[in-house]
Amino acid sequence: MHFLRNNVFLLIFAALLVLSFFADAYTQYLINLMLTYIVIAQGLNLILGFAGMFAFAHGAFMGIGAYTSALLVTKLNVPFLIAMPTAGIAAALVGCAIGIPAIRVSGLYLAMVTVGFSEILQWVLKHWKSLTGGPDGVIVPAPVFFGIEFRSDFHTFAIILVVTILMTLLAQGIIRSRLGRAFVAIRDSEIAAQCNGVNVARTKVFAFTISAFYAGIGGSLFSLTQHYINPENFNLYQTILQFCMVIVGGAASLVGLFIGAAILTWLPELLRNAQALQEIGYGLLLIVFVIFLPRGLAGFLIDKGILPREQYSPARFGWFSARRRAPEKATRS
Amino acid sequence: MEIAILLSVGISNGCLYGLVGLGLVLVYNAQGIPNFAHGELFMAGAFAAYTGNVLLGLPYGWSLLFAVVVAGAIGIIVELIAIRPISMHRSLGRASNQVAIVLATVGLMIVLKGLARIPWGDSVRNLPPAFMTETISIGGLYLSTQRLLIVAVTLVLVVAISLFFARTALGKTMRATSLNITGAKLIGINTGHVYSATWGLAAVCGGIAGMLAAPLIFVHPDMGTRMLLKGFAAACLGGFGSVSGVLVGGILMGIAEIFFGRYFATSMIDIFAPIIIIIVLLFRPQGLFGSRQALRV
Amino acid sequence: MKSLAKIVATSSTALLLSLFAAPVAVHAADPGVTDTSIKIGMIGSLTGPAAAWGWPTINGAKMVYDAVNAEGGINGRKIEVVVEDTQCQAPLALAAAKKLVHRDNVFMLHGGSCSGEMVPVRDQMIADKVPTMLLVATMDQLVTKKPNDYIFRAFLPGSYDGTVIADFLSTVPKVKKVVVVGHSDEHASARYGTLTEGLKKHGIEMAGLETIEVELTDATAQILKVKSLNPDAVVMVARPAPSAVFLKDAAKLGLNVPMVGATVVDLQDLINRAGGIEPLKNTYVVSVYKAPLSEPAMAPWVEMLGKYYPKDKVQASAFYGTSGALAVVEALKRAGKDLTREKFLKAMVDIKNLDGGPMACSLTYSAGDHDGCKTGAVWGVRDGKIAVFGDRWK
Repeated sequence: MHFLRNNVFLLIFAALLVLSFFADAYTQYLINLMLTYIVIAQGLNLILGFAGMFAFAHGAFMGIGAYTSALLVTKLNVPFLIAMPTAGIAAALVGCAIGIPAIRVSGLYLAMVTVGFSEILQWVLKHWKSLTGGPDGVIVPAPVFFGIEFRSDFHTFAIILVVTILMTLLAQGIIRSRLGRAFVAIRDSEIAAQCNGVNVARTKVFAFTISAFYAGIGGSLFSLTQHYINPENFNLYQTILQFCMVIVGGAASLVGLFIGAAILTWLPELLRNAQALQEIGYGLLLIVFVIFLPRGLAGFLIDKGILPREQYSPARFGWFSARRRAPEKATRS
Repeated sequence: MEIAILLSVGISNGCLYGLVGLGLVLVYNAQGIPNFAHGELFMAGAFAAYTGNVLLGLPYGWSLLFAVVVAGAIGIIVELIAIRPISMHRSLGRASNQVAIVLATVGLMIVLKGLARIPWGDSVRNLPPAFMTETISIGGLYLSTQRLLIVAVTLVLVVAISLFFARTALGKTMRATSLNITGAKLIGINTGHVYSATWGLAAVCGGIAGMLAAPLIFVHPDMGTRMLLKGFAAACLGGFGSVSGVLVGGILMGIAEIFFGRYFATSMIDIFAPIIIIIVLLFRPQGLFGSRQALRV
Repeated sequence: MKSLAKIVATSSTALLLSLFAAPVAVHAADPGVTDTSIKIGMIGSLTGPAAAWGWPTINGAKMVYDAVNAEGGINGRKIEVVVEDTQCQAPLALAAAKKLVHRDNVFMLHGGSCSGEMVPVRDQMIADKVPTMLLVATMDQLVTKKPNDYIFRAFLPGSYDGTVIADFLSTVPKVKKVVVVGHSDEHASARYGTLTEGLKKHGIEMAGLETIEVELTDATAQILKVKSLNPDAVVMVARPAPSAVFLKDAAKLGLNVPMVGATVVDLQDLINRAGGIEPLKNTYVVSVYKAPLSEPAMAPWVEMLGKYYPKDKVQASAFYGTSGALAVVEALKRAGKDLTREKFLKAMVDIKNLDGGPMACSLTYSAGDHDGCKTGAVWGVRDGKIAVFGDRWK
C-alpha cells in the first residue's frame, strides 16, 4: 500500500503505457489530449496554485508555443526535437517580457492585463497572415524519427508520454527547490516574503517565465495531437478550461492536475448527448468546486488518505484551509 | 459632418461602456475583485427587455422597468448563492478569497451564457427602438433618438448614483464598507446586505446598458463578452475610484475607438480595448481620475 | 456541505476510473453495414456560437435519409444516423469523428459546419479511409488538396463564390472601383482569393479590404471609411447578423451603392433581419438555391422538412445539407446490394448531372474532381420582390 501511495506518478504513467496497447484510436487520441493538457496545466499550477498569481494569458502562451513549433517545422524544416524546446523557450521569453511590467500591478489589474494580452495575441494570429496563415491555420506534419513517420495516435502518444514524464519531474524539482518555496512564500504573504529575503519581483518574473515555458511545450504537443492548429484553439476559453483543470484537480497539487485534466478531457466526451448542458456544466463545475471543494479533488483524496500528502499541498498551505488554527480567527473578521 | 457623426456614435457608445464599467467599479470597490460575469448581466438586461416587450407583450416602458428589476434580482441572487459562501470562508484573508471569487465569477459568466443559449441560442433577436421616430435632425445632422436616449439616461443615472453615494444612508454605508470592512462590521453595518446591494446596483447598471443598447445591436447570448472588455477598459481609463471618472473614461474610450477605427484601421477596432487596458495599466495604473492606491502587495 | 463535497468527489473519482474502458471492435465486411442498416455518422456545431449551422443544416440532410427510410430504405437497408457535436472547434470535431469511426463503426461520415474544424478531420478520414461528404464547410482545400479519394462536397465552394461575385459585378454598369468588407475568419478568407483575382481579371479596382467582425454591433467607422474610398460597389463577405448591421447602418449613413453578398447570407433572411425590403433594394446576394423558399420550385423540400422536423424554422440554412444527402443516397443505391466503401466511392465519382434538390446546381463528380456543385445564382430585388438574376445584372 505504501509503495502505491508513494509512487503515484509512476503508477499513472505505467498504467497509461499498458493501456495504449489496448485502446482504440479514439481513446488514444483523448489520452494524448489529456497528457498535453497536463503539461500545460502544470505551468498554470505553478503560477496560480503555487505562486498565487492571477494570469489569464496561459492560453496565449500555449498558442505562442504551438505556432512557433508548427512554423519552425513547416517553414524552416526544423526537426521536431529541436522545434519543441524552442517553442517552450519562445513562450518563456514572451512570458518574461509580459511578467516584467505586469508585476508592477497586482490582483485585478494583473488579471485584466493578461486578458488583454490574450485578446491581442488572438488578433495577431488571425491577421498576420503571411506568418501564421491567418484563420486557415497551419497543418502540422508528423515528426519523423529514425525514418519512421510518427503519424498515428499511438506514435504521438509515445512522444507525448516521454515529454510529460520529463516535465512532471521538472515540476517536482522546481517545487522542492528554493524557487518553489519562494513561490509559496509570495502567495501566502508578499510582505512577509520580502521581509524574509525573497526577491519578490524576480520571483514573480520567474513564475511567469516558467509557466509560459510549460505552456509553450504543451502547445507544441497540442499541435501534434491533431496535426493542425488555428487561432481559435488558443482563445480565452482555452485559458478558462485550463483554470478549471487546476481548480477541479486541486491547486498546488501535482497529482491533482492529472485528476483535473482527466475529468475535463473525458467528461465532455461522456456528456456528448447532453449538449446544451455542456457549457453550463463547465461553469457550474468551476463554481461548485470553488465553493465546496476549494482544494480540489486532490485535496479531498489527500484528506481521505488515499493520496499521499504532498509538499505544499493545499491542506497545509492552500488558499482555503478550512482547518487553519485559531491565531487567524483572532485577527481576521 | 463626418466628425459629427463619429462623435455622436462615439459618445453614445462611450456612455454604454461607462455604464458597464461603472458596474465593474462598484463591485471592485466593495469586494476587490473584477466581476467577469458582468458582461452577462448586460446580456441579461437586454434579454429581459426583449422578453418583456416582445414575448410578454408589455408596453415599452413597463418592459424596461421589468428588465431593471430582473437584472437587479439576478445580481442579488448571484451574490447570495455564489459569492457570499466564498467570502464567508475563514482563511488566509482577503487575498485568497479574492482569487476564489474571481474564479466563481468566471464560472458564472459561462453558466449565464449557457442558460441564455438554451432558449435563444439559435439566432439573434431584435428589440424595437424606444421611439417611433428613429432619427431626428438637428442642424442638418441626423441623430439617432436611441443614441440620444442612451446619453440622457446615462447622465441621469450617473448623477443619481453619485448622489446616492454622497447623500443616502445606504450609499454612505456602502462607501464605509469599501473603505474598511473590519471597521464597518465593528460599527454594526450588515456587510452582507451591503454586498447584496452592491451587486444589485452593479447589475442594474449593466442591465440598463443592455436594454438601451439592444435596439441598436442584435440581442444574442454572446453579446456580453465584448462589452465586458470594453467596460474594463473604460474603468481602467477612468480610474476605479470615482463614479463620474468611469463615465468620462468610457466616453473618451468610445470616441477614441471609433476615430481609431475610421482613420487608422478598421481591423483593429476590436483590440482597441485590450490595447487601452495594457497601456493604461502600464503607464498610469490609477487611470485618469483614480487616486494612487497601493497597487502592490 | 461536507457530504455534498464527498458525493461530488467520490462520484467524480468513480467516473474517472470507469472512463478507460476500450471496447474491442468487431468488424464485419465493411464497418457500418449490416443486412438491414447502413450507419452514417454526422458531425456539426450543434452548440456554441455557430449553432445556427448545426441542427438546422443537419436536419436538412437527415430528412432525406428519413424519407428514403420511409420508402423502404436502400436495397433493403435503412439508414441509421448518429450525430455528434463539434462546437465548431477542431479538437472536438476530431474527437467526434474518431469516436464515430472507431467506436460507433460508421460506414461513412457526413458533416462539418465550419471549415476550420474540418481540416484535421479531413486528413484523418483520408488516413482512415472513410468516405466523407462535407456539410457546409466551404474551404476549397478540404476537397481540392491532393491526394483525395474520400472527401466529397455538394455545396458551392468558397472560391466559386468569389468568382461569381466578380463576374456579376463586371456586368453591373459603371462599376470600376469596389471595396470589400468582411470577416477575418477562414470562412471569409476562402473567398477573398478568387474574388481578388476575378476583379483583377475584369479590370475592376479593389480599393480596400475593411474588416467587420462577427459580433459587429455598429458599423459607423467602417461605413465612413468605405465612403471615403468612393467605391462604385461594395462586396460583403460576412455572416448574416453583421451583414444586416452593416446594411442598416449603410442606409442610415447614405452609402447607396450596390452591395453584393456571398453565399453565407440569404437575401430573404437579410430582409427579415433588416426589418423590411427598403434597406436591401440595392443588394444582391449569391445564392446556392434554385429559387426563394416561398416559390413552388422549393415546395417539395419545404414540405419534407415540415413532415419530418415540423419544429424546425423554414430558413435558408435548413436546406444547405440536402444536396449532399441526395448525392449520398444516389451513390448508395448505385453501389448495390453488396455494399462496400470501395463500391460507394466508385458510385460517387460516376454521378453526373444529378438534380441538386433545392440547389441551383446539378451535381457532377469525377475521379479527379470531388466538388459536385459549381454554380450559384445571384438574387436581387426587383419591383419590391426577390428576383433571381442569374449571373448577369439586369
